[in-house]
Amino acid sequence: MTANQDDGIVRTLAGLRSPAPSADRVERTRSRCHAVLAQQRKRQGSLRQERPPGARFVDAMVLGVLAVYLAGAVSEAVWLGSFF
Amino acid sequence: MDRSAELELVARLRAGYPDAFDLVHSEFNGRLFAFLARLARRRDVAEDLLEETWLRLVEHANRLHDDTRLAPWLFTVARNLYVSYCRSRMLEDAHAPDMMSLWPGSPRRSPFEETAASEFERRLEAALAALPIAYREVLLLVGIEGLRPAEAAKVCGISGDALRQRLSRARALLEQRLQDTALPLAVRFKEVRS
Repeated sequence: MTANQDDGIVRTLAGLRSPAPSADRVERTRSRCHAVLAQQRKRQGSLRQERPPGARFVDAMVLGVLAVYLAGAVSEAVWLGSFF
Repeated sequence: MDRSAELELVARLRAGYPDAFDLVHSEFNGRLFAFLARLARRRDVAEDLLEETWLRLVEHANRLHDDTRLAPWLFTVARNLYVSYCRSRMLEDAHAPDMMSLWPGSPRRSPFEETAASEFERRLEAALAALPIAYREVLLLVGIEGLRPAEAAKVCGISGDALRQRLSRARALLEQRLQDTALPLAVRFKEVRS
């Protein structure tokens, strides 16, 4: 087959009329997709609401206090252990 | 759609904006349906797979890469859904082409032109539908949907060289089938004249 014939076939294919999906099905699909997007945005929004801006700072403070407490407890245990 | 508009659309899609989805939907819905209808050769199956394709997009929207190209992404999903459907139903090339009832009428042609065009289009559609799926899909992606060969190769999961070979064979097969279907008409014409 020549290149011209190849081009002709591709051109003819590109010119073929295409079927269209039914309008009610298209609308149903769009609605379902919009619902999924709305759910995702709602979920993302509620996650943001659950974590206020100062939450990271509070988390760091709690972690620091916990670390100090644990260090104290361990040193206490070591000190007590030295008596036996 | 130019590349910068596409990148912006992807960014908005990742953020979950419904208007971005609507733009992508209006751009690709018809093309995806035509692709799936010609692959599956059944309207109901094509519509189900099309809906699933769009649901996959919105479910994965926030995980799209910044530089995602929408056409290859969507056609890959649609194709993979069709492959999964074939696997699950163990269907492959068992049915006669059933696409003819899907075609819309052409409003601007004379009845003669309409008949001639329809006859050729019918033959072309029948020849296309009769091709093995591996050849049909590359012709649909490159010939009808206008994807670049590299993009079509990505959609089909094959190398660029393999795609070029497959495309060349597909064109030759299509040409052959078109000639085969034209032959009986010519023979009949000769018989009538004699």
